[in-house]
Amino acid sequence: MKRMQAPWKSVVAAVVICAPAIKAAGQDEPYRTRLDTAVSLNRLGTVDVSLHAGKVNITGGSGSQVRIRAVTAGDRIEFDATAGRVRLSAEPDGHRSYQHRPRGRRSRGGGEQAEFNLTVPVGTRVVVETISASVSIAAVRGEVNVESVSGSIEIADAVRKVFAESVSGSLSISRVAGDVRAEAVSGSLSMNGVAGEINSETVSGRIGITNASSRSVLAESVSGRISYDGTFDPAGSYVFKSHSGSLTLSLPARAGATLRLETFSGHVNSDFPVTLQPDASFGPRDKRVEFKIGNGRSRIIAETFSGSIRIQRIGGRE
Amino acid sequence: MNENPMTCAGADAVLLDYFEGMLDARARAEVDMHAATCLRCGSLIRDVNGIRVNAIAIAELTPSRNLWPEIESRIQPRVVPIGVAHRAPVMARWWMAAAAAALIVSTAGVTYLATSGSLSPRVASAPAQRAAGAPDPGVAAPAAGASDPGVAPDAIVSRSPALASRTAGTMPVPSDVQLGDEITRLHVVVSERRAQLDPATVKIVEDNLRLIDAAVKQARAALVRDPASGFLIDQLNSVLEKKVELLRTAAMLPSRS
Repeated sequence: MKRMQAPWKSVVAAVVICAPAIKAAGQDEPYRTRLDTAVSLNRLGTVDVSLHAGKVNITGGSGSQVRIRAVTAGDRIEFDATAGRVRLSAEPDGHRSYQHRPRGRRSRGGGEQAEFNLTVPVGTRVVVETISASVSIAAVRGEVNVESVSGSIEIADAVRKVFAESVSGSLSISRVAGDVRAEAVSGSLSMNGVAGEINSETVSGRIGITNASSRSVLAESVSGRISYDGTFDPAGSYVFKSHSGSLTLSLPARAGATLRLETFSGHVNSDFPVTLQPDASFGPRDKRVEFKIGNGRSRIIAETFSGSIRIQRIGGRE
Repeated sequence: MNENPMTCAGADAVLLDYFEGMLDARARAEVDMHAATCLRCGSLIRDVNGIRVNAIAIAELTPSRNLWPEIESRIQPRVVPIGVAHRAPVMARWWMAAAAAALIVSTAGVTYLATSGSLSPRVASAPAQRAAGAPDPGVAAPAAGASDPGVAPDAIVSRSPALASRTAGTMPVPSDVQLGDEITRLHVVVSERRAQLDPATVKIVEDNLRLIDAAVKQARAALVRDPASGFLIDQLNSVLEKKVELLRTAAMLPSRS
């Protein structure tokens, strides 16, 4: 008989190991579409939430308990809590038979009305996955990792690391005392008050960075507009790249930076005086300039194929 | 007669061997008989078999480029041959100067070509590489005729203008072939998964792939006019890498059900 391929051994083993648990969950646990409970969580523990459609609201709070109020339109709520991790999800159907569902509670379209509201201890690491559910995470002051397909994502007051990804949903990230990595395809990225490294990327979505105090910024898009407004660290590196999206950088009047700007068919416009270097190019095609303002210590690169580059001075002339 | 002696616990104990094909016919039949009457075990077996079938269909992904040759070249100590000393023949001063100049020119040329290639060894892959496993047109494959004839639309080009202009479309190197293959494979995976994905999300992915393909076309057209532009080469590589990333994202999107 044909033997299974090696990688499937682990899959099969995992399924077999989990089988008793699946059985128990399928036969013993109540079919729950509402949950209102509180459990204790270790300091810096993890809260893991998964929801197809609806809303996820997570707020940081005092104490060591995770408070959960969850409701779905018919999908079964899965809940599991240990000292270090709380898991909450509502998956449509899943592995269970519809025969096990109470009558009249069958999901219509994956639980559009589902809403998960959680209060978690400050410092908790939060992990959320959704398909179209919107996500709001505020004041948790811990690491945040959110992935969605089309849901919007709002994150405020996080620390250490924030990772947020959506295909078409908009991302709004504010007040992060740590590094941010944000990715979208057509969704817009808005980052305000980020103090750590920023790494952001879209295809057609706009990237807006405001009030940043980052030492390293990378913002890339294909057609999305990119704007940056923040401080420039003397040892920092700031790179902005697009194919056709415009690049707008706002620099304080007293900034000290060396700027290298290049566009193939777009325009370059600077509020700061530009002294052309010998290798500069300023023809109708391929405009390339490099110039210093102030002490020239920060390194700023802005490159676009056909988009325009605008360097704005903020704070008035010296 | 023993009609169906197996319980769920008994099935759990032998499921691993069942999936491995290690059970004899009688034991296998017992599991099958039990699964036919047990919702839980029947579902489990169907699920695992479904996973097996789906996973076997997943194309093998490879890194976009093989980094090892570059790493190896940097960590390997240079071997300097110790030759036998020869007394140089007496030569005219002008001949020595000419030989030195020739040596400098040839060394600089070789070094330039070598370092250009090693820093960014990706050059255009041949159209033949692209032809294999053409992507599904329904998943925003590059439009026919969108690129310059003879140049693969998804080929990454060398940062070295000399190499780029000399080898575009004619001389593939392994890393480029891998990237081209990766794009092709990802197209296949995405097209196979299309029915499982949310139509609105599929449309967004396709729209953005078209946008990237238009950017690729523009960058290539600009490169034709200015093949020595490192900036344009970087721009082209950048949008091609975006395409790979978007295809990867699409390939790993969760199913709508």
